[in-house]
Amino acid sequence: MKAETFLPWIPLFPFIGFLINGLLYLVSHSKMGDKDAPKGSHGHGEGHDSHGHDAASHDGHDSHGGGHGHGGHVDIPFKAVHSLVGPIASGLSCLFSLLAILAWWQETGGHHEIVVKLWTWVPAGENLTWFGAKTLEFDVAFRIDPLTALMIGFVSFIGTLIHVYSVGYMGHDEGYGRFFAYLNLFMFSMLVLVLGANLGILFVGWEGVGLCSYLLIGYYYQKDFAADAGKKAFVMNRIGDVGFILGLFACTAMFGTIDFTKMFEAAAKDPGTYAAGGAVTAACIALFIGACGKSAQIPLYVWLPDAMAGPTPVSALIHAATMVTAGVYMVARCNVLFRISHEWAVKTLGENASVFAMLTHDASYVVAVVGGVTAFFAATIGLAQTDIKKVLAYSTVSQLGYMFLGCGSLAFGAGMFHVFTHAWFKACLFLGSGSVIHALSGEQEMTRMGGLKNLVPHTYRTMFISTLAIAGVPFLSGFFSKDAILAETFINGHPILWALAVLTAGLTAFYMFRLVKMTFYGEFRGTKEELAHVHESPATMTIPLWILAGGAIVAGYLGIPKFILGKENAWEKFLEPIFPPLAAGWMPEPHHASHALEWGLMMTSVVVAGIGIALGWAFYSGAYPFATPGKIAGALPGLYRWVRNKYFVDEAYEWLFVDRLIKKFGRFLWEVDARFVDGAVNGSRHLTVGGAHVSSWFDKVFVDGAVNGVANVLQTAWRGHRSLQSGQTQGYALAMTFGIFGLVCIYLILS
Amino acid sequence: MPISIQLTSADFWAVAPELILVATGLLLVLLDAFAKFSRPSFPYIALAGVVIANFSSHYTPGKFFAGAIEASDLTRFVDLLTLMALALAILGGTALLQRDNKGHGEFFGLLLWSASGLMLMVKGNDLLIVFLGLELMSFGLYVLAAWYRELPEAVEAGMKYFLMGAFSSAFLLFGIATIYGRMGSTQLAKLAELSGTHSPLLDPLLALGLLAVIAALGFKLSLVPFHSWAPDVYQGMTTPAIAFLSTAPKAAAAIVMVRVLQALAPAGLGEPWTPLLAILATISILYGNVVALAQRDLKRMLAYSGIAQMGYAAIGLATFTKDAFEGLLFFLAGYLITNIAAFLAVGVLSNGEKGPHTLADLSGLGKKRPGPAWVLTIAMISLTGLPPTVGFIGKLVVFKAAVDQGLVWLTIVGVFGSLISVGYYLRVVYFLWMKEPGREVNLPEEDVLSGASYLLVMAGMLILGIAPKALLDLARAAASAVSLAALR
Repeated sequence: MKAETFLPWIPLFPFIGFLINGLLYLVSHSKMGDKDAPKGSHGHGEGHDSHGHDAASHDGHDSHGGGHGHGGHVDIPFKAVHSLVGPIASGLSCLFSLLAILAWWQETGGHHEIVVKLWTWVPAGENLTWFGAKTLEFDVAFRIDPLTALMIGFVSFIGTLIHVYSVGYMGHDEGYGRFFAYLNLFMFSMLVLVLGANLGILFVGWEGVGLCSYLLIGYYYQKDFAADAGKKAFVMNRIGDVGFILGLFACTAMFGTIDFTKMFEAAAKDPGTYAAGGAVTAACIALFIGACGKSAQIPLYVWLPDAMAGPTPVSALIHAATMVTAGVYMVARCNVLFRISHEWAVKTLGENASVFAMLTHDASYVVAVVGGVTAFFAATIGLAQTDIKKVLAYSTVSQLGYMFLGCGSLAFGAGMFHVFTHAWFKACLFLGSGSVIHALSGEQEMTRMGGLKNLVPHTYRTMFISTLAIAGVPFLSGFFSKDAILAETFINGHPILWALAVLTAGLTAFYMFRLVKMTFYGEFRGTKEELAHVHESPATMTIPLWILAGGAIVAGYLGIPKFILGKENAWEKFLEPIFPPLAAGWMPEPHHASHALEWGLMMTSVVVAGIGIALGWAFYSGAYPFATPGKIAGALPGLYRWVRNKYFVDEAYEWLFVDRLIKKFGRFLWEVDARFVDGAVNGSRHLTVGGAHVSSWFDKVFVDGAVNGVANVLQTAWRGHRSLQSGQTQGYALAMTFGIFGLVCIYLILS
Repeated sequence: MPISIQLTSADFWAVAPELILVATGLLLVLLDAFAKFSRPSFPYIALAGVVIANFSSHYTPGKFFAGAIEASDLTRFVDLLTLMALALAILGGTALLQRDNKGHGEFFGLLLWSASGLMLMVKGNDLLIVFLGLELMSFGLYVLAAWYRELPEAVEAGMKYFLMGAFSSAFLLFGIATIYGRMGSTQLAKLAELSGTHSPLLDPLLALGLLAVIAALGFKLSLVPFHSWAPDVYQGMTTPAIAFLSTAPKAAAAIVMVRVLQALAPAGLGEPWTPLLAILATISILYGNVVALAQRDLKRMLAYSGIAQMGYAAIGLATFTKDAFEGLLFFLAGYLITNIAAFLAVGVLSNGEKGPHTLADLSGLGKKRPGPAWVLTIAMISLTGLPPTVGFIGKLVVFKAAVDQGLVWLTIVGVFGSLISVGYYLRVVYFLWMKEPGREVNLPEEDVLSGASYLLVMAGMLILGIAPKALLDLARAAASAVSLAALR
């Protein structure tokens, strides 16, 4: 079989799953809200009541376990069907991804891409021209190359695991079918995103995952905070999308096509033409703004921590493992453009340009700085959070920063490597935290946990493994990928960012061990009643945890660096075809670091991570409240307050953009509207209401039967008279007249 | 010079759709007067008239009635759009009207007559025929605006629309007279000939005439600053009528504007005119979108949304190339389906035609009425301009043509406006699906006709968004009827 036959099916299966789940859910729930509908035929009334019950409990959190531990059984229609369709749809897509990858490997040996064109979406025509000869046309087409193979592989596999996990985790939720419908739709969109053979299809997937993210964050839509978090995510992403769209337009204008193969071939062949005047840099920065929205980088990161309002499997799948890495994927996909931008900056500015000059000329420099700063910034916030999911959320923002730091240092392979390893251990950490939350019937505050080590042994062990991996302990996956990024950052000339990133690695180790200690060690800090309820999760949840933990251990062995193993880095070699060589004179001199330097860099990061682990372990031992962190917070109350409150960035955004800009400005225009339009309407309404009374009396007395027509004329004329008297219509006419005067003035000024 | 005009059957075939609509309207009014019992069949009769009119619209391109009327692929395109809007308004609106026992023959008659005026306006090759068509179109709508004549809001809407419409007609006539005074003809083809290859638009007198025409057509398009009637009229007008008024007449006005501009500037718009139209587009987009954010009444919100959408259309006008015209035609067709969908859904998801249509009333209706709720959801997505809906392709082609012509800043304004619009379009979706029901809303019954309208608009918005080629081809053929420069 050929890869072409498999590719279209990969996203199609989840889509079919979405249709089945969605339709079944609609069929079983469409009459629920209707008071007139006959009740109780499927026990819906009961299901509905549990809403109110749910809403009353633990406000402010992922409201998992609505029925669980609070009594009250929720009857879910078609539960068995949903439980099968959701995971199977995802599983089939995983199977077909593997088949497609195998077939592609056999056909091409992994050296070049295969593109399948399904149909033409926007056709080119004689008149739809773009700069004369070039025509814009884009197809609904999928491609498979090393980058896509990698993405579809782990997205569909981890996605399937999380579907299975959700069967257990969401089992008590009344919206079970809706959840699986959204999750399948997400899988469809994400796979379209990574399979797309041009920026247009990528954008379709990009918007699709954004929509699903919005729907799933607001999954508990009865709660204001969940609905608000969904809105926040959507708005932030739309701001990013403006950048993406501008980037897309810029690419169209430059290349006359948005097909990846054609675009990058043209750019690699003739970088000078496209880079001239900073055109490529502008396009890259626009695209990167899009990536900042989707992948939660400064200044658009604030939505991701709030996104934790969604169910935990969603946090694991969408807001840790897959969707948020779409920005990194897009930057890696467009690596040709970023490399050209970098070389152009070096050519125009020379080797020793100032940081400011580089930031305005080199898009990859911007990526590196934003990534590095975000990594550090988010890690510091993570230090003082006590909500288990919030810690993981800031950790995700921080790790995404690492990925961008890698890409910005032109080590796209290392960035993608971290995307890959991060998917395993972070999905495991999130699902583990979900398992803890499940065990505690919805509790998310770490200050109310502790001592769970032996009560939830599987959860504890898998989370511990993943914590070691993210902390950068040698020979686990996170160590290899993080180290690859750190080394490349240093070697490619960002020593300050390297230092910041190493420091971040220490912080990461610290806050992750803080999380483990607070959750699993010491005394249980909740009530006795809660303690009695604690139980290990069912097998549908622990098995995915163990598989992910296994991945967290071994995923890193795909990319062991050359200086350790002695032979070529398998990961880099696999990805090589997606980094086509640029024209002569545009390939940078490869920076060769000595083995001693590489070992030294590695040792530094290991030592720093070790210090972080040791401090985290020591600070959070002993009785709660912990003495040492308390002392530090007490000694630096101002700093603690800022960190604890996430530097008040949300508040600042709210104040600046929502209160000042949007509300005030909107209010101003609204006032204008109210003064001149609504006010007038209200005024006239009083007059016309009076008129209406008179005329209805008139209607009754005189106007029955044949004189209808005459009455109409009278009434209309009479009301018209009233309306004229009110003065407002003149106001409108005056506005129009002024409008024409304005046009005349503009005409005179312009000509 | 004595004038003798030879009329042949081809002349009448050219206006056959209009004639059929007028005849159907007359039949309905007469039936209402003499056979009231036949009222339930009125929507079907009206629909039959629309279908027959569609099949009769197969004239050969050319000039008819001594050059006063010109039939082409463009007019065929407009016929199609208009009949489509009529069909959807009748299908979706009947249930709303019958609920209040307002489905009189006159309603359908006025709607059909108005549509026939609209089609005539676009066929007019003579500015006077354009005026005649525009007036015929408007008179029907003036009366329809006040259809619920016992409601103060409706009477206010009708009166205001009439007065302001009369005012704008005066401008149109003034403009036509000035153009005639300067050029000596009212025939568009003749004007294009006289204008020759160089644009005479720097002539102050002619410029004044054209400005007056732009203002009058801008009134129909509800471009800022000629928009002030729109919110009141939208709010007071009954839903099926406003669904029609807010779409087809705007499409026609935009197309007529292109034809007039082409006649006076066959070589392309010059320096003061492109920025002038661009300014109209910019302020419409910004004003419409921002004020729409503050609206709590759905119909008022859709009025401001319409102002902004016509701002996007005005980007196509300012660009003024063949590509832009194609894009504009596609955009208008997409807007037509989407906006009608939005209005029909708003009508069904409310307390009825007599009360206000507040946003809060939508709370939680997604579960109660999934059909119209989905229609409204998709319409909002399409109005926002997100894929895979027709609104996305529409904006894409219009913006692309503008970028092509170097109007990058105008495109940025458009994209920025779309960004703002997310705020209020999405709020509707949020209320539909994510809010708990508030006060009890007494929803009207749905019937087979409205079900059919949902299916049609859903299919239209999605299919044309995923596979837009057929419509793009139609738009391309239609656009070639007006000879615009391919690129400057």
